[in-house]
Amino acid sequence: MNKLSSSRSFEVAMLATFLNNEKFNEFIKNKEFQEYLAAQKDLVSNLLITGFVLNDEAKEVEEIKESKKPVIKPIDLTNELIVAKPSEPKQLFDTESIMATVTDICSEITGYPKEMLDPKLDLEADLGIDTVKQMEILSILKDKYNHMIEDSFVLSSTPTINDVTKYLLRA
Amino acid sequence: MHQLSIVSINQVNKVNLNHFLSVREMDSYLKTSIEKKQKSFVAGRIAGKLACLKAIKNVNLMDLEIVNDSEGEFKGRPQLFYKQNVLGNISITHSKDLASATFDTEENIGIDLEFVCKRDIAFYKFNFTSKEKDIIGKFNSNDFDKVVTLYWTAKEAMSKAMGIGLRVDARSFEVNISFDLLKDYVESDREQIIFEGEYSNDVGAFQISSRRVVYNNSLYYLTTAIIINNEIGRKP
Repeated sequence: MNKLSSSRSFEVAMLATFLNNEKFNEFIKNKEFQEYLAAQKDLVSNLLITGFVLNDEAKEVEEIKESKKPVIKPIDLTNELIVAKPSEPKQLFDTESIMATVTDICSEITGYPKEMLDPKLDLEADLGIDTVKQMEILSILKDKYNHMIEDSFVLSSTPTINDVTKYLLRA
Repeated sequence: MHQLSIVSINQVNKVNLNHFLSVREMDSYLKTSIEKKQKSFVAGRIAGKLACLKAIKNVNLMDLEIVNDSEGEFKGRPQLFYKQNVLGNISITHSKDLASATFDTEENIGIDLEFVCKRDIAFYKFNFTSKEKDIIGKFNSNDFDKVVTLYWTAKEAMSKAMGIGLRVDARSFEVNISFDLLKDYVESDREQIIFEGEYSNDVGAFQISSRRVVYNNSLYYLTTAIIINNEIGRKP
């Protein structure tokens, strides 16, 4: 709530206190005051209906609604995120599925049967996968897991399927 | 002047390895468990030694030894030894059925051989600069695979001439060639094309030479790169 509206709600509170005041109740029995009040009636009611008080109340209601909205929304979103996090990424990014994907890609590019692609074997030294095929594998992985692979990442720094999987799971 | 040789990997079966490999090379060969890798290892060694024979006569091949320790002294630049003496620089490559090598007593030459095939589009997406893609993208799908392969051999040859290999982003190496020249080469029967390349925005410049090789109905590009200006270590 901003300063202006808080000072206005203070004025509203003061007016309410004034209206409930006993002395004021006695005072309003006074004829002169009743005449004065009658004279002011239109003006006052006008002010009360269309003036700052009602508007201010309306504003306050709006403000409460608005301030409630963002309170409710983040809770919902957070709940969704909490629900989503353990389920979705687990299905996509656990060790087994990443290793299976890396193995599939290596098998497809090199023509080696999957059984031959022991995750502990060095892609270059043991399997003889040449640079162009390594780069093709890396490019497909970059496409698939682009947010998980840094630009500087090169396959020779992680020479086995195990190492590639560990790299992809590092975060 | 560098020497170049090319051998068929399958013909390796027919040779007596004792006549071609040194004791240590034979040891490496026997430690290799996968047949395909064994064969390409032997073919690469033989190609390297045959290239040397074109420059230096009267040596027994088994007395020649190609030493490559990617992490150690030579840093990815294999050397050819003859009885403890370094004769020169060797670069070896193989692809599908062929192995090839260059030998030079002075210069570091990088060589790469690749056969033309369809590759995943992700390979094109992540390994070529926008300038390269501007040119490659103009080719139709048939020639596209040829041009991608040719560009790749140039990049790998440059990285091998520098002795760093493609342990760096392949986009650090950029091929400089005009579309018209390339189109003419890809569509005609011209055997060889010469163009230039650079490393990391002019830090290193290369002269590149690429040859067309057809073997067992497959098209290969065999590309060599020589450093013509190298300012690595100096800020541009």
